[in-house]
Amino acid sequence: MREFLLYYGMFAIYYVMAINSLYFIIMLFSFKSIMGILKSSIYSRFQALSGSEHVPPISILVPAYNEELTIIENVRSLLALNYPRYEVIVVNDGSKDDTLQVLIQEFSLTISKHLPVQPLLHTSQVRGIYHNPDFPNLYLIDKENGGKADSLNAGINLSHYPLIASIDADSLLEKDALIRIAKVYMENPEETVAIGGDIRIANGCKIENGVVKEIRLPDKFLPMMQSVEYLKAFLGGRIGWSAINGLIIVSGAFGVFRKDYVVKVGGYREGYPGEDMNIIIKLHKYMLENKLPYRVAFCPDAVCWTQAPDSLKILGSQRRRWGRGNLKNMIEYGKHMVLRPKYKLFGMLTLPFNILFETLNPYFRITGLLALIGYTLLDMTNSHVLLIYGLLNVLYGVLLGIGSLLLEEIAFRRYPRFQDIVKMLFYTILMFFGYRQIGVIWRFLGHIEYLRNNNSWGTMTRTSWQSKSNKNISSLEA
Amino acid sequence: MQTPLATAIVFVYALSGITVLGLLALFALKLRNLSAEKQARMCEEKYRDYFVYLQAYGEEEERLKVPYGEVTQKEKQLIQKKLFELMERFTGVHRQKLIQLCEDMGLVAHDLERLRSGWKWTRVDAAYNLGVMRSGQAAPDLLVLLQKSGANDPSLFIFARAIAKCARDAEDLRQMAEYVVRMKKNVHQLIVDMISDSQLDTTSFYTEWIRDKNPELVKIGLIGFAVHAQLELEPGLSRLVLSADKEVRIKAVKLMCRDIRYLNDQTIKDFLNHKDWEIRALIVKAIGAMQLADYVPALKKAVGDANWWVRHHSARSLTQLQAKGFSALCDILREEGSNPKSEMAQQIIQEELEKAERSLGGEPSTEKLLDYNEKLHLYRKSCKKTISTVQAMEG
Repeated sequence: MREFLLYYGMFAIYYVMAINSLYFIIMLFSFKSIMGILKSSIYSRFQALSGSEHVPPISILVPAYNEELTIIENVRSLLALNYPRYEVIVVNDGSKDDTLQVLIQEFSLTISKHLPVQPLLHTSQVRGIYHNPDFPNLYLIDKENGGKADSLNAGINLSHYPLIASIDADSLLEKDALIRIAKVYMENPEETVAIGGDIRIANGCKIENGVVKEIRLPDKFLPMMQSVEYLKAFLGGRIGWSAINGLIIVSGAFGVFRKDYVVKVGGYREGYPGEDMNIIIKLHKYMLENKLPYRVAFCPDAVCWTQAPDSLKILGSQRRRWGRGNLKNMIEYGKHMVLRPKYKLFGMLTLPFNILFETLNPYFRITGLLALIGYTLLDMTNSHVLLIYGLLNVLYGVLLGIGSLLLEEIAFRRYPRFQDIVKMLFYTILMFFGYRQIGVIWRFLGHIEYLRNNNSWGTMTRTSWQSKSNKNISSLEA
Repeated sequence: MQTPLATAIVFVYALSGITVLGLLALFALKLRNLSAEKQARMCEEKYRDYFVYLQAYGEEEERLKVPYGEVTQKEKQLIQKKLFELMERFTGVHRQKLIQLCEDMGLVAHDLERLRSGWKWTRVDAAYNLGVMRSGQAAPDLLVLLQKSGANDPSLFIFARAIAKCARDAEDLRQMAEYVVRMKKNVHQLIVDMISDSQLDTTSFYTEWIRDKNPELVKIGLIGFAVHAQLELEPGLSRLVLSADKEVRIKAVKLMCRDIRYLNDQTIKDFLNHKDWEIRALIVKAIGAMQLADYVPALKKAVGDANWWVRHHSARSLTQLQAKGFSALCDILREEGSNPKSEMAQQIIQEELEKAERSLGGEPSTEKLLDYNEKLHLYRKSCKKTISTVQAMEG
C-alpha cells in the first residue's frame, strides 16, 4: 500500500512538473510575441484609424438576461466607442426583471415588429425588435428565454455587418478596444476567423458613465484572486497559444468573429455552457477539415473590464459551470479530433493538452495530494516527498505569476503604482494556500453536475456600476 | 526507501533560481518605468514654456527655434515625443515647421543612424519616428527593411506606414504596396488607409493602378479611387466588370453604382442578371438611391431573387420609388403565394407602414399624413387584406 501511494504520488509530482513546464513554454511564446505586440500597439494610430472609412463595420451583440442593474451603463459605454461604423444589438433573453423596460425607457425605443431579419440560424421565438432613429446604431431584440448561445444566434440574424463582436452585459469595453481588435483583423482579414480581447477585473476601479476612469486593484479577497488569475491566463497563456494558433477559447465576455464562418459552423451551440469554447473548437474544426488557412488571434491591448464574483457561492457556481462546459466540449470533440494529424496542432497539442491538463487536472491533483498525504502519514520519515510536491506547485505557480506580471509591465502597465505589483505578487503566492484547491474541487463538482445532466447556469449576481447595491438574480437557464 | 525524486529536487532548485531572477527583473523594470515617468514629468515641466512657444508660433514665417541651452539625449527623446503629438494634431505649414525643427534638432539624423542598428526594435522605433517626421531620405532604407520583413512580422505594417509617410514619389508607394500584398492577402483597405498618410497627391496614381496588370494593385486602386470623388469617368471600370477576379468585379461595380453616368440601360440589365449576388445587390440598391423609377418592374422581379440581400435591397429600393414602388411591393403580396418573395415584401411593407405611422407622432405635417394614408390605401387596395389585419396595423 505504502509503495502504491508513493508511486502514485510520484506520478502526481511529475504530472505537476509536466503541466507547469508546458505552461512555462507557452509563456515563453508570449514573451517572444510581446515586443511585436507592444510596438504594433504603440505605433498604430488608433485615433486616426477610428475615423477611417477603411475599418470594417462591426455588429456588437450583447446577450442580456436579468441585467437591469448594469445594462444601461454597458450600452452607454458601447455607444460611445471610438469606432467609425458599428451597431449595438442587445438581446433580451426573456429576462424576468426590468431589463427590457429600462432599455426601452432610457433610449425611447419603439417596437418594429416587422424589421427584416435574415433567417440564418434557428433561435427561440423573437417577440419584437425595438429601435429608435435617434440612436440609429442601437437595436434591442426581445425574445423568449433560450440561453446565451440562443441570444447570440438571434443577434447574428439581425446583424447587418460582416464582423460580429460578442460582449457580456456586465462588461465594459475600453473606448478604443474595438478599433484595436479591428486593426488586428485588418492586418490579416483573409485568415482571421476570431479575435479575443483581454478581460480584466473591474472591481475596485472607478467607473463613470460606463467608462473606467481610474484603474485600481480590487479591495476584496476573491476579486483580487481572480484579477491575478485572469492576468496569468490572458497574458501568460493566451498570447502564447495565439502565437502558435492553438487558442482553444475566446472569452465570451469580449470577442470578435467573422460572421460568415460562425454561420457556416451552425452558430453558437445551445443547451450547454461553454459556448465560447465551443464556437472556437468548431471554427478550428471547420477550417482544418476544409483545408482553409486561418488563425484565431488574441489582442491583449483590447481591454474589456468585467465584474468578478465576490462571494464563494457565485464564484463556485461560475467555476462549476466552466467545468461542465469544458468537459462537454472535450467529450464532444475530443473523440473525433485528438491525435488526428488532420487537425494539425489543434488536434495534436491543444486538445490533448486541454484534456490532460485542464479537464483531468482536478483528478490527478486531488488524488496525487491525497496519496502523498497518505504515504506521509504511513511513514513520517519521508515527509519531504509531500514537501517537494507542495514546493513544485507553489514555485511553478509563482514563477508563472511573475512571468505574467513581467509581460504586463513590459507592454501594458495598466496598474501604475509600485504597491500594485507587490499586492499582485502577494496574492499570486496566497493563491496556492486554499484558493487553488477550492478551484480544483469546484471543477470536479462541475464534472459531477455534467454527469447528472444539470445544465443550469446557477446563480448570477450583478452589481450596478453606479452603486454598491447587490441584487441576486436567478439563473440564465436555457 | 530509495525514491526517484532527484529530478524533482533539481527542478525545485532551478525554479527557485529562475523565480528570484524573475522577481529581480520585475522590480527593476517597475522601478525603471516609474523613474522614466518621473523624468518625463520633469522634462514636461522644464520645457513647458517651450512647448507653448511651439504651438503659438507654428503659423509664423520664421523657423521654429531649437530649445535653449544644453539638451540631453533623454530630454531630446521626450521633446521628440511631444513634437510628434503636435505633428499628429497639426497639418500644413505648422506641421512642416515642426518637421523642420526635428531636422534642426538632429532628430532626423539620429533616427537615420538608428535605422541601421543591429537591434530590430531600435530599427522599428527609428522607422516609426522617421515616418512621423516625413523624412524622404529614409525612404530607400525603409524599403529595404520592409523587404526583409516576413508575412508574420508585426513590424511589416510599421515599416509600410512609415514608407507611406516618407514616400518621395508614386514609385515608393507602389513598391511598398506590391510587397505588402505579396506578403498578406486582402489587406487592400489597410494599404489605402496607410497611403492616405502620404504627403503626395494620390488621386492620379490610383487611376493608374486601376489600369495596372497586377490585380492586387487594381483592387487598391479601386478602393482609393472610391475615397476620392472623381469628376471624370474612368473608362477602365467597365472592362473590370468582366475581370476573372470576383473582388475586382464587385469593387468596380460598386464604383459604377455611385455615378449615374456609368449606368446605361444595358449595363443595369446586365448587372441585374449578373451571376454574382453582390453585384445584383449593388445595382438594386443603386436603383433605389438614384430614384430610377423605370426599373420598378425589374426590382419587383428581383424581390424574388435567390439571395436574401438582393431580395432585401430590392424591396427597400421599391419603397424609395414613391407610390409606384410601394404599389409594386403590394402587388407582390397579391400575386404571390407564401414564398420568400412575398415574405420579404410583407416585412418591408409592414415596416414602412410602421415607420410612416410613427412619423405622425406629435403634430404631423400634411405631407406625412398624405404619405401614410396613401401607403395604407395601396396596402388595403392591393392586398385585399381583411379589415381586421389593417385595423391591427392602425391600432
